[in-house]
This record gives sequence, structure tokens and C-alpha cells, in this order.
Amino acid sequence: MAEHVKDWLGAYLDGELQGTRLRAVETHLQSCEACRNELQDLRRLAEMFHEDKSNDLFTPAERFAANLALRLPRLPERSRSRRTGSSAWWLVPIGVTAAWVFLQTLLLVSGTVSTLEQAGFLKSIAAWLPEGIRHTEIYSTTLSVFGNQLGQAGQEMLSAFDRAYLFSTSFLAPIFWQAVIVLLYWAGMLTWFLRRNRQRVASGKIVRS
Amino acid sequence: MVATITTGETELVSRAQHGNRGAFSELARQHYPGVIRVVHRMCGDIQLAEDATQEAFIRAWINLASFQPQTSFRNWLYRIAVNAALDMLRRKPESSFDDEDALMVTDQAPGPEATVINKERNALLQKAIQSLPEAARSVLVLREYGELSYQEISSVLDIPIGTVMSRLNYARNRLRELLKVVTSQ
Repeated sequence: MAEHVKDWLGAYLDGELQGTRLRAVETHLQSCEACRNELQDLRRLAEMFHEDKSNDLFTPAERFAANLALRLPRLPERSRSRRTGSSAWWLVPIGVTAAWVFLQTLLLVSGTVSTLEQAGFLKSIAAWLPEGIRHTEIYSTTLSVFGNQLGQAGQEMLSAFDRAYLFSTSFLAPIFWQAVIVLLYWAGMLTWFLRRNRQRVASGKIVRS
Repeated sequence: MVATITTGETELVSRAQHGNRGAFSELARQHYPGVIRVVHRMCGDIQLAEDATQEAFIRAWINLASFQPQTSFRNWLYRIAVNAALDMLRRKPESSFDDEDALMVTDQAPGPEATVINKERNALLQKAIQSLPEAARSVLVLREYGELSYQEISSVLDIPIGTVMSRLNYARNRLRELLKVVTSQ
């Protein structure tokens, strides 16, 4: 005989089982008298719960609601305005992120123009930009050691690598790390918000064993 | 009872959140029968249950701004009600099951004998429920008297569904032991 299903009989009786578990319990019940007796006991217990006639003893709902309305305390103003306040509160991280995006865009455009200017393009247009980026050490060393042997194509390739490397290290890497910081900031804010929200769901404590 | 959030309820909650007492009273009228049944079985005393229920609704009113409209109002209310009942019991630790009101349950069948038997059964059931640990009692009462699904109980008490199931099994097995004579009749 298959293993008894006593632990699942309550859930079965409550209609909470589905799929293979439900079929397994039904199949087992057909062949196991002990589990059928157990189920019958649980049914008798459920009948006792449903025999409860206490409803007649309680204050009628209408009277309760009327009495309650008289006893409800006046709500503090902050309680009503908190929802508006909480949505406005969200503007802070959004504003900080928007400012960061704006600053980064400005720096990226500025840096791109500067790099193009360094590479020989946009000479007259980018004259106002600061001179910050020259060449990498690899570029200078390679050019000084193998300058004559590289040829024009080699030098152009080295120059392209140099520009790409400078661009990535000067602009993309800081942006990546700043994006990580922004994400961590948002994750922290979200965690804080969820915890705060959870605490406000119930006025009392959570029931735990 | 099916956990449905009707448009009417959503509107009532919204109006109540803006301070409308009438809307909240209507919500209280709708949910009172379910709440009092649960709280009564948690407390085991009708007067205590009515006080705890009133306190639960007042707590709900005060904290209504924190209720998230996309969640179930009934589950939120039941959580507050269970906590209010437990707080009420802690404030009044002596056994409250000397309440004769709980024994005044009448059977549909006429005759004094049936009435007495039913009173005794009800009294024993209440006593057995009261003897359960709070955690198991909360789960059992929400299931049997609140008629909440396992998922809803899990949400109300903030425990996993597996824990809901194991606590229910424990509570039922314990009640079966305590009520062996009664259930076998």
C-alpha cells in the first residue's frame, strides 16, 4: 500500500489540493480504510465548526456600525495628507537620478567632442573645450620603439586603439561605476520603502509562532 | 465567503481614506459579521470579542491611510482584528471561558435535551479552541470561521502556506484528541 496521506487530508477537505497531489490523495483514499476513517473524523470536526450559532448573540451589524461611527476618533490631518506626501517623496530619488543623467550626458558629449578634436577632427569647433586627453602610455611607448617599423597602416591602427582605449577608460568606466552606485541607491530606497510599507500595513504586530 | 473586492468596496475604501466616516461605517457594516465570528473564537467571550472588534475597526480607521488599495481590504482588516483579539486577551489574561453567553446557543431542533447537548458541544469546542497555542488558533479560526483560503491566511498572518497547512493539521489533530468523545457521537 502506498504511504498514508494523513498530512494532506485537511487540505483535501478544504479544497486546497490540486493536480497530482489531489489525484494521489483520491487514489489512496479508495484503498486505505485508515485514511478514510481519518477523513471522516475531520468531517465530523468540520461539522462542529459549522454548527456554530453564535451569530444570533452578537450585536446586529447595523447597530454596531452606527455605534462605531460615533466612536471613531477625528483623524489627524497628517493621516489624510500622508498619501500625497508619500508620492511627492518619490520625486527626490527621481530628481537625483535625472540630475545625474543630465550631468553624464553633458560630460559624454563634451568628452566625445574633445576626443574628436584630439584626433584631428573639429579643430575649429572644439577650440573652447579643455585639453585633457593626450595619448596612452602604450601608444607613446609603442610609437617610440617601433615607430618606423609600423608603417602608416600600423600607426593608424595604433592610433585608433589609443583613442578607443582613452574613450572607454575616460568616460565609459566612470559611467559604469556611477550607474552601479545609482542602482544600489535605488535598491536601498526600494528596500526601505517596502519595509516602511510593511510596517504600516498592520497597526499591530504580526502573529508569529 | 469569497474574497472579492467589488467596485463598491474600492470606492468605499477610497472615500473612507479621505476621511468619510459614512463610507467607513458602511465598510464596517459589511465586514462586521465575519470579523466578529473570528474574533469571538479567538477570545472565547462575546463581550470581549465585541470590544476587540470595535477596537479593530477603530485601529483600521486610524491606519486607513496606510492601506494599499490594490490589496485585499478584508485580509488587511482580519490581520488587525486578530492582533486586536490577541492584545485584548493579553490585557485580560484570566480564562474568559466562564462566559455563560457562549453556552446559550440554541439548537434548531426543539426540546430541552437537544439544547443541552448542543450547549455542551459548543462549550467543549470553545474550550478546546481556547487551549490551542495562539499561532495555531489564529490559523484555525481564520480558516473555519473567517473561511479564508490558505493563501489568504498566509497573507493575513504573514507566514508561508506550508506553515498554514502544518498549523492547521496540528490544530485539528489536537482538537480531535480533545473532542474525541464528542465527535464520535
